[in-house]
Amino acid sequence: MTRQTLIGGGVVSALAVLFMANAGGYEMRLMSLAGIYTIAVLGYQMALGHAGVLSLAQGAFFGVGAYVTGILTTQHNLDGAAAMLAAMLVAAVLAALVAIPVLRLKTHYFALATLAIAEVVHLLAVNWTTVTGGANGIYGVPPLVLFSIEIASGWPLLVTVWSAVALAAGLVFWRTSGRRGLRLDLARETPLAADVVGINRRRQRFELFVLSAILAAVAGSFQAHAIGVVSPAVTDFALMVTILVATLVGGQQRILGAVIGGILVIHLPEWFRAFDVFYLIAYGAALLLVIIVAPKGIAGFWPRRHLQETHAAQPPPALCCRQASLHCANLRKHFGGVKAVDGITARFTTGQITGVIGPNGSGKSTLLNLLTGLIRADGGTITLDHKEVTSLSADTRARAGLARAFQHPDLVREHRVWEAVMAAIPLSKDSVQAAKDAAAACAHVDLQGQAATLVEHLSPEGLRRLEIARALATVPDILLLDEPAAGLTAAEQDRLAVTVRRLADDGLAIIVVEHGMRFLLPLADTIICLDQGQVIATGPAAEIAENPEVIDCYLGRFEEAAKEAGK
Amino acid sequence: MIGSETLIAAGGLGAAYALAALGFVLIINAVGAVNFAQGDFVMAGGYVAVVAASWLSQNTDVAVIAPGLVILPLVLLAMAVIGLGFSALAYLPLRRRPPMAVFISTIAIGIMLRQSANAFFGAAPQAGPVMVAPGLAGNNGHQLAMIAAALVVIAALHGLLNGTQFGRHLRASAQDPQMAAAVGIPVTRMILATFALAIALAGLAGLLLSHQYLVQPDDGTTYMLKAYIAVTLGGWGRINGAVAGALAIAVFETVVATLVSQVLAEMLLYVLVLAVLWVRPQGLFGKIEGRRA
Repeated sequence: MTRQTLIGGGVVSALAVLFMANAGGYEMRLMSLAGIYTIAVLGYQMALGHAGVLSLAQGAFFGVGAYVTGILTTQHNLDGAAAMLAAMLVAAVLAALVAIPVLRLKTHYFALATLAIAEVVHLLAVNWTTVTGGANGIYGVPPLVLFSIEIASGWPLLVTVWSAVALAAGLVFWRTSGRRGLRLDLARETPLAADVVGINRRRQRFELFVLSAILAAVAGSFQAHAIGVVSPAVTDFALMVTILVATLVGGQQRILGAVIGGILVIHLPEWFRAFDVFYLIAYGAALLLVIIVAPKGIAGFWPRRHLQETHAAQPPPALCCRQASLHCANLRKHFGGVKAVDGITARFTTGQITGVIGPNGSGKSTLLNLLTGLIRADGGTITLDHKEVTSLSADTRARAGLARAFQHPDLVREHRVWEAVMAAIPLSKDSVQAAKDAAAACAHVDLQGQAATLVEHLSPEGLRRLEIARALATVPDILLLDEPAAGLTAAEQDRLAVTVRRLADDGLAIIVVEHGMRFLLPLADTIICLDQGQVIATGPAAEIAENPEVIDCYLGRFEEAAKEAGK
Repeated sequence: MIGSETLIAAGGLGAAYALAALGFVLIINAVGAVNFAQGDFVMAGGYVAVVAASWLSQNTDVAVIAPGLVILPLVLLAMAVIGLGFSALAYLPLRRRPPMAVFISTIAIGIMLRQSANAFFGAAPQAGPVMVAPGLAGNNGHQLAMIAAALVVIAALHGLLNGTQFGRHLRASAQDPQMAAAVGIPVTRMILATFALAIALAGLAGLLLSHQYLVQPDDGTTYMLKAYIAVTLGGWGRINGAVAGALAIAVFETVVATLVSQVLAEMLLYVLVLAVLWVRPQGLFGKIEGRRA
């Protein structure tokens, strides 16, 4: 607990007490509704803000919660608490069923699919008259009963709803803050980077989508009790838009944003009542304005909380790599008629630096992508430690000890160095061990003094080193580097070479794809030269540099070009 | 039973859906974002038609035999201007931001359109002008005129996109904005022109639908969904596919509605889309890896 939180909490409690002492029934009712929407928004933040999926079914889940509650309490005499649990369960099951086919879709198809589901729910609500009461809906939903105490409207409902808000906020905080939050940032902003550090994005999205539906159902259930009526309006697209507006105006990720959004979306219509029907136009205009001037919503004006560095390692501890080997045999990948990788066989082992060279289009990047699992092979096998991994996903391979740094640093701009590294560390490690691993990873690439620097303030060299640090934080056995020296000055390249050599001496198997021969030739133990998707030469660097075929297809051109440039 | 009447009705509906879907896909190609307000612009076109037709009937002495056809150019022009305003509000301020931002700004514009219609015209449905008077071309005349008008406009659009330098610039800007800018095409202006064109098409769809299907402020979501589905079925970003998808939806909807009920037709359509996306997550004919919405 920081002092800020305590002061903030104090102010909020004081305001709440003041409100309760002075407010009439009408204000209490509005604030209860605001709390209900806050719960729905907290849920929606998990889907939109944290998982980054544009779901348009949040309103439908709200409606499902309201209908299940309405039906069970009026037609089956269930008490409110049991009905709410049932509503949560129905929404969760529905969301889980929907998630399986839908969550793998691209954004625009995901939006359409969730919208289609919402429309089906709405049509059912209107037309399945025997169960839902059709256009008239369900009347006489009794007040909520908790532990056989009836929660009357007015302050009992207000306190209950806002207690539920606190619980929901706790749930959101638990699932989306700290290291979990960093991994969510990584998966949302830089999905490929998330794959290669071993984050299971499907599981993340599934969990958040189902939780978002559960919170929507809780909100719907509360509203059924609060209003006493469930009509098809709760499944209407307008309600989805209300939740969307509240989330975007308040802020997509911050709990405070959900509270601001929930309160505003309920109170604005009341404050603008004088404008009659025109207030709804202003409502759309407000949404537009917020998107343009405050993309992070109102809560975005408060500075972001950063994870603090809790451990520093100097000098770096030795890496604890296992004896590992990566082997590919007769690996093939075709893109249409282009044979990008055409039967490559290679072996990479502990303590060795293997350079991969070849002209543009020779298949170097495709080989890296195949080895890390970002693309699937058409033929051949990849074996990691005598276990075949050819058909395993990138994140599974990453968890098995394969790490990679990208040519163009793929980092979350708003993270600090420390956070970018922490994001790569599996949640199964406790915080002490995670901090140790992160500190060690930073120290290995000489970033230890910069833990608190923002990623967007790093130099190109710093970004390159951070890419490697993030890969090291997964405690890999094998490290793949894609053109690590590209764009660096001679002095920076020399420093990087020292770092990479030290990592290999510590026991990592390192694969380096590189065009800079000045950097690679002295560094690599073995070099593989590719041309047109095939290995044309393998051997020690000195030998490869003299190989006539390699000179002919690659190095020769390079030297001639250097001569040309020198003239 | 399914007779020629049903097929003509399906053709008329399909013609309107095709126009809306064409506008939808033009904007997808130009800015990589879904225009969530496309359906609301169909609705807006309907109201423009209602207003223009009533002005026409008040200010002309002779009864106009084809009011819909007479005001058609006016609706196109008015909606094109509105489209320019739309792009200035929803796209220009956000063009350096991810497509998701544009997606949401179009939702905002959709809300404003819907609520404006509600404020100025009320929630009750209104009837737009008939395309041609029944006396002139028989009972199916209106629907046949819908089909004919849509065919002419689609053919003109095809000619514009494929046969003129303007069209080539437009397509180049959509395909690769940076490259287009590098060869001297005014990309921003092309994108604005795309918005004008897309919204004019939506408005025309609104005019065509306004007589038989009436106009209501809440119509937008349904029309937007139809365009969205048409583009999904026809292949994301494909212009011809959008037309085919729209026709398929209209035939499906009309036939199921005739045989069973309108509600079932809509429900089945949504279920069908979900099934398609389940089996083919990349869309029915999808292959193009475009920018995302």
